[in-house]
Amino acid sequence: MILLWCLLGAGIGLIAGLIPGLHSNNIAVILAATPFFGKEITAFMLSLCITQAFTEFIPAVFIGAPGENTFESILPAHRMLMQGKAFEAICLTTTGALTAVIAGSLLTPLFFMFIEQNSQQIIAITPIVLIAALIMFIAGEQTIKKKLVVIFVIIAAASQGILFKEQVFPLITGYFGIAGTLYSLKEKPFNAKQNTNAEINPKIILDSLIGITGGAIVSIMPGIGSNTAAGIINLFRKTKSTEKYLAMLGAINASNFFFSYATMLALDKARNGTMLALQEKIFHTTDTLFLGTIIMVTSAGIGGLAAIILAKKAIILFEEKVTQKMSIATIILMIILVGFFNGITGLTAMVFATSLGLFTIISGIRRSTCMSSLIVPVLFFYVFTLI
Amino acid sequence: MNDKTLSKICLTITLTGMLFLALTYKPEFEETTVSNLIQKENSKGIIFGKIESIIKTGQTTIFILNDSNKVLIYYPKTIEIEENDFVKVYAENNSKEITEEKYSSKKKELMLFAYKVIKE
Repeated sequence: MILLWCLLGAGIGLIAGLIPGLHSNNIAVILAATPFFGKEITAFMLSLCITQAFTEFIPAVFIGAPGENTFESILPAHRMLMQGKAFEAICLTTTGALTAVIAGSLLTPLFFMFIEQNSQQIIAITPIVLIAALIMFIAGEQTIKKKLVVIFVIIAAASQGILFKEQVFPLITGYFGIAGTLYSLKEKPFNAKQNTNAEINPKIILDSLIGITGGAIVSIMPGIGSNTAAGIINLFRKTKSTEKYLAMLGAINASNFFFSYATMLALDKARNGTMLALQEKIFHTTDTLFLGTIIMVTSAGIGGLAAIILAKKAIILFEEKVTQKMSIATIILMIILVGFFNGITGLTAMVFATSLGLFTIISGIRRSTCMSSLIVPVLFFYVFTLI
Repeated sequence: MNDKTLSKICLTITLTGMLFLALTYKPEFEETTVSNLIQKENSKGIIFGKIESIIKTGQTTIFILNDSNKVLIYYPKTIEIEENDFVKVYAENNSKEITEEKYSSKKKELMLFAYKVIKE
């Protein structure tokens, strides 16, 4: 019976991952209203979350439509798409996620003990980490003029983040999806003949292990998302290899859910909407963590396999030359999705976010600075609420 | 490592996990009665009965459940229930610890720990 729930969760997770904007948190809201609970619903939700963590990179890579956890992948993934390596990009995020889940399952008991003993200290250093990330955005630029532009972007993005607090999807679609695609319209069409085979350097497993640290941070520190963690880690890294970055992002995304579950059991505190719903549906017994771990590892296998198969199918759609029509269709699709999920407010937020995203491209500064729209509100939350 | 190797690894993980799940999983709660639960320490089960009386203390709820046998139940959360309501309780008989630690000043009485209480 539990296997059926696990497979059902994996099936829905696969579909949810392919629909940009449909986050597991949305499904969790529906789940919270149902009378189901116990091990079965735990198996269902964990399986859904983990599988989605694998497949949600597919729309991010192929149509440039970001999810809440994947927008950082769009620039590197788009680069690989243009080189005909979209399939490799999916294999990289899959390898990262798979490594994270396997290593995470071994590290869970240690992680569980660590957060139980150090939760207060970890929360106390969060604002310092966030401030350091903002400083790194500014310090990362070479000239005074660019540093001033970065400060302006931080203020603008932070204002948007505060003004459109519940509009994460429209904001990230604007910054990272539509802005880049719109800008690419003025570029010449490229031959996007995609390679259907991928060769992965086993060394990227090391980067996946670094990603686990990011996933652990996300699962402990409230308000910090996978992308924020990836951005912060990337600021401190010297090597900016696209392949390593994608593997790391895949690892962060998967280990985030993995460790969120352990955090929920250890601290009885939910760090995302899914865990919040699950918290009310779960029995905190001795074997709950063990069962959850097995389910997540199993689902990781399903998710990885599905991501590889679905990515190959997606390539068939891209066998022809990618033209400007494709980019226009992608923009229209993203507008429809934002309108459908977030309404007029979402569309308004998206327009503002697209403008800022385009400004960063034209100014030649890093678009990840737009992440300030997530970082600053979280920082305010720590400064004014927790301290 | 190529994509085919990666697929094989994924398949191996899936099959191993499923096998492990099938071999190790056993339902945690099965329907039982108050008398069965109170007889065996550390046993778990789903019991169904009528609420005789309720004591609410801050964030916790303690109530007496009757399914032809009466038992005191400790639920570490608040819940909207009233006397004479019928409820389904996912309970465990680890009450010795609860009684001694939290209610040492009160009369020591067998108390079941409730993981979940559902109003029927």
